[in-house]
Amino acid sequence: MNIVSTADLRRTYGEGETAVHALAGVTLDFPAGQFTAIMGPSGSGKSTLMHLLAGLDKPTSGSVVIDGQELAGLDDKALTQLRRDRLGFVFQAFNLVPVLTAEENITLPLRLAGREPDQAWLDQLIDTVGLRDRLTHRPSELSGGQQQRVAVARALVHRPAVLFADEPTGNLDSHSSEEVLGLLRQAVDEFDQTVIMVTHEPSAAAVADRLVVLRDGVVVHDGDGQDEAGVLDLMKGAA
Amino acid sequence: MTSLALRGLLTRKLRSVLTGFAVVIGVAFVVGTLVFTDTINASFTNLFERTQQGVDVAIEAHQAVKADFSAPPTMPSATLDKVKATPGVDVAEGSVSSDGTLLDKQGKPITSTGPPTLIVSESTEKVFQILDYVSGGRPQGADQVAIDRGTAKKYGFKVGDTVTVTSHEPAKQYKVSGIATLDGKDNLAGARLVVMTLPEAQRMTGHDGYDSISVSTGHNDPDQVKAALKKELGPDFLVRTGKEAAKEQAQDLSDALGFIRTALLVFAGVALLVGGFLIFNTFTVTVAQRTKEFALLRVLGASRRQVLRSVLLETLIVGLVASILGVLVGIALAPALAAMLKAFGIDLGTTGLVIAPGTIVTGIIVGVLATMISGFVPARRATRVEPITAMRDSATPGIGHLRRRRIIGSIALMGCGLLALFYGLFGGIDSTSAAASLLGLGALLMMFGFAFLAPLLVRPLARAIGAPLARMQGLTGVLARENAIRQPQRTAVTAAALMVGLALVVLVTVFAAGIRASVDNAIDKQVTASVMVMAQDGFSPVPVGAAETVAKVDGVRDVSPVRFSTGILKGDGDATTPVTGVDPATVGSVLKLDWEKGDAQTLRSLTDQQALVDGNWAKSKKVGVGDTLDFTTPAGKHVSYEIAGVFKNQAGLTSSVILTGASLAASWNSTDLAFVAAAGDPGVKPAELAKRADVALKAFPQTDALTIKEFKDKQNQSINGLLGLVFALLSLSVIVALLGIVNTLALSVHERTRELGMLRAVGMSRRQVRRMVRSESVITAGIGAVLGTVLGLVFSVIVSRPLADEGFVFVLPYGWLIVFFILAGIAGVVAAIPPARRAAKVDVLRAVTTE
Repeated sequence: MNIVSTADLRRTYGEGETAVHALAGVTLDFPAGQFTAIMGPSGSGKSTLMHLLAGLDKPTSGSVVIDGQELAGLDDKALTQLRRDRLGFVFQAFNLVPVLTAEENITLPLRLAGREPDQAWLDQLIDTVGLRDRLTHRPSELSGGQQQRVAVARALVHRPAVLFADEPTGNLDSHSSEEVLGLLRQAVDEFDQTVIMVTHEPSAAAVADRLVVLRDGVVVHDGDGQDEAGVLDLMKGAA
Repeated sequence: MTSLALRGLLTRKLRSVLTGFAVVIGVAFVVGTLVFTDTINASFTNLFERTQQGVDVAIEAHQAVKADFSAPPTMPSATLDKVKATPGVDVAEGSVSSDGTLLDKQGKPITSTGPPTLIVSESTEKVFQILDYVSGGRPQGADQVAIDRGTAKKYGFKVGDTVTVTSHEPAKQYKVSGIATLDGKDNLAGARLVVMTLPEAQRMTGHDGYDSISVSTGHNDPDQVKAALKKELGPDFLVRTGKEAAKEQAQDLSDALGFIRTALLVFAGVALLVGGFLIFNTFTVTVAQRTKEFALLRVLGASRRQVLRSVLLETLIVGLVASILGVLVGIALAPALAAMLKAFGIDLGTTGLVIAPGTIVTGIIVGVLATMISGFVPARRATRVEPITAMRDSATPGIGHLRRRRIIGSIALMGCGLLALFYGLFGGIDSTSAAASLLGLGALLMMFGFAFLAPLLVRPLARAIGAPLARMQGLTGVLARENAIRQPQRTAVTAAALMVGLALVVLVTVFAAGIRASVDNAIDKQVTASVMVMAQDGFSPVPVGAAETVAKVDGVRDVSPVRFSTGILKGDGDATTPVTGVDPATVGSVLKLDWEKGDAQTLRSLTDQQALVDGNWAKSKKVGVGDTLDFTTPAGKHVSYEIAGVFKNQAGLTSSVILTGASLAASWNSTDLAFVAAAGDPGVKPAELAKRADVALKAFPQTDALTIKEFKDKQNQSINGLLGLVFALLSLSVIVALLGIVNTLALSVHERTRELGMLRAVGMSRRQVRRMVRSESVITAGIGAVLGTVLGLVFSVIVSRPLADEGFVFVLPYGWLIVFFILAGIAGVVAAIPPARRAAKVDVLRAVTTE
């Protein structure tokens, strides 16, 4: 079953001669329980694709369906609800609310929806990300890696249909990167989550089940996951 | 660096505009006040010159003491004969002018707290006739009057109509003979004119003789004639040339109105002070946000001095532009100020605007100075940025760990403020203006001290105020509370701006409530009468005839007339002392005094050569029973009184010195009464008695018979009116403070763009974003309300201390305080509208995209 699918997705910025085709017709399906890495050189459209998939941006044409829901035609309120209830996000930076504790940050989507967290699931998540002793700390008192782990826990707390990760290791050292990627992997393997990650780091892409490479707004590769060397080769081809 | 400063301003348009707006309001208020008061002065000078036209020399009886309830001395016809006989005098004529009351078409007296209704005698000499009749003509005979066009228009009177006029004598109906203008103007600076023939004016006003004598010198030099008249008449007369008289009359009036100018300027100052807080905050935040920019400039080789100059230049430009705008707005505001005062019953009837060059200069200097002073500290902070900051990742300004220093500084400031307050109150400073300035300084220091301490109070206060919000709204409430605490200094300064205005509002409210309670208390304790008769406007005299009329009312047992006057006590210099005249035979049944020395019998047997004095007053004058008081009266007489007893005044109805009414009538020119108190026969209901008295008083429509409850309400009415005016003026500084909240929130929203975008991305709805910003605003406003209320209460406790001896009752107007809190909350919600909208519009995509 496909959790996310797109059909001939296009996104054009500007008009006439100066128009930039960030996405020039992308059709992709993302089955449930898969870890997909989207790669591509700068300006390939990978971030644009991610924003369209997550309903943060509106396509010029084409469609996005998430968990059976066509995004076109949804108003801001419906999109907000969709993000809150069905999507999880991990960004490169500015993931956490500085005035809330780690635990409060984790439960943020639930509290925005006015729901109580499932305590057993919350405990399991906290143990998985290994932050039990940091729950009452504020983000400024956490290391970059710890902050990203809180972000991952937050993205999973409401068991989203799909988790989007946008360069989740972009600001981290290699050790912390491994930890965060491991967590995402675990989410797929142990919790049956679907993860779509945009990255430009081959080492990060190597943990994925599937690798999609974009260039100039079109898909140039769509295949099984590769090891780091394989990813590098593919990228050379794409560039 | 200059162009950099300019470009910086342009790129931060909204912020510059908001900052500037606070200055615009303050300056506009200052300029508006100056233009307004200059206009009043000019129009009065103009009018008095006009009224003295044709008059080369003006003569009045010398008035030793000016007293509201004593008629100015008049001149007998013998004086006029003497004047006429003086060489150089071509034409001389006596005239009468006095306050009166005109009834409108419904038979109700036309009252105002502004210009009075004047009964004037029409001149029979062509040279002195200043009125132009637009329809009809001069009054012919004792049954005709002419009125001014302004009154005719406003109350719908036409030539041939019947109007009712009253003054010292009972009301009488007249036929309108003509409608007059003065120099093309509708009336005399708002005063209503009733023009009568001289004999009728003399009869109606009870003025026996002339109030003034006008002299035309023909071809002779007025100055020479004036000298001759002075020699002829002696020192009991005031002889001036017409020009001098006009000038001095105008000066007297503008002096009397001077307090309005001062009061308005004080409120303008408060608005500017609040604006200063706003400017300080905005510049502080901008400097913090631009830390990297300054660091970069420093890396590139800019000196500290250059950075300072650049920031100060920005401040100067904002100040200058805003001040110029403020001057323009102020000029436009002047008529609005006149309209506002008019709405509160102070109609000054101004026409045309007087814009003095000094006004414009003052406005600009005041505005620029306020901006520069407020902006200097943040500018200095900019120079402290180390170049290395440019290389660092993020530079959020620290909260500052100067807790101890802050507390010490705050205590020092507040201590100095208290000292100034106490010295102003108890230092025995004779000059009222010096004492008032000290009080102002003390209050200012207290405010700064409190504001300085405020950042430390933000956290607990935000917790307390935010608690119910967090409980009601959940996460958004919690976030709002935490956001308010995030930059305690910023929140504190924003709240402090609101604090300033609110502290004054609370002070005034508590005082007004105190005065009301004191008056009620005094009336309850002292007044045993069942009905009081007083003028409808609350302050005009009551004709003696009214007392006689009430005495005849069925069910009235005793009627006691009370007179007021003012004299100068020997040894007091120019300072005047108010005195009260009672009727010893009857006063005992309407008024009860508490005694220090003496008893009711002392009062009953008071002779015309005796006085009763208030205990505190006696102490301050170091006099006691048996001592003699020497007074100069408004009649110019020197009279001595022996102190027969000492009473406790307790904010009562009498002044500190009580004499007999007969003595006041004989030696103080007291022709009319202040009020009349009547005691009813046992078993007669006061309301019934008041109704009967009112019916009987038909001949004196300017008076009103009141039960004691109505009497209290009447006393409170004037306080309420004043309270309304003060609130209206203070609301301006509150509006500036609200702009501050808008500004601070806008800055915070701008700073938190990414965070807001992230919150939106993970599922916060627009509505939740708005609610969060709104709650933060409400919390900030709430902090300001708490600080302001506390400070206002502290002020009122201190300032009311010296009055406690005089019977001032300190009461807390809980209802009002609650209303202020609710209003502050609503104000917070309103102030949050623009920033909340902006926050809700944050582009999620831009916020989450990392460059």
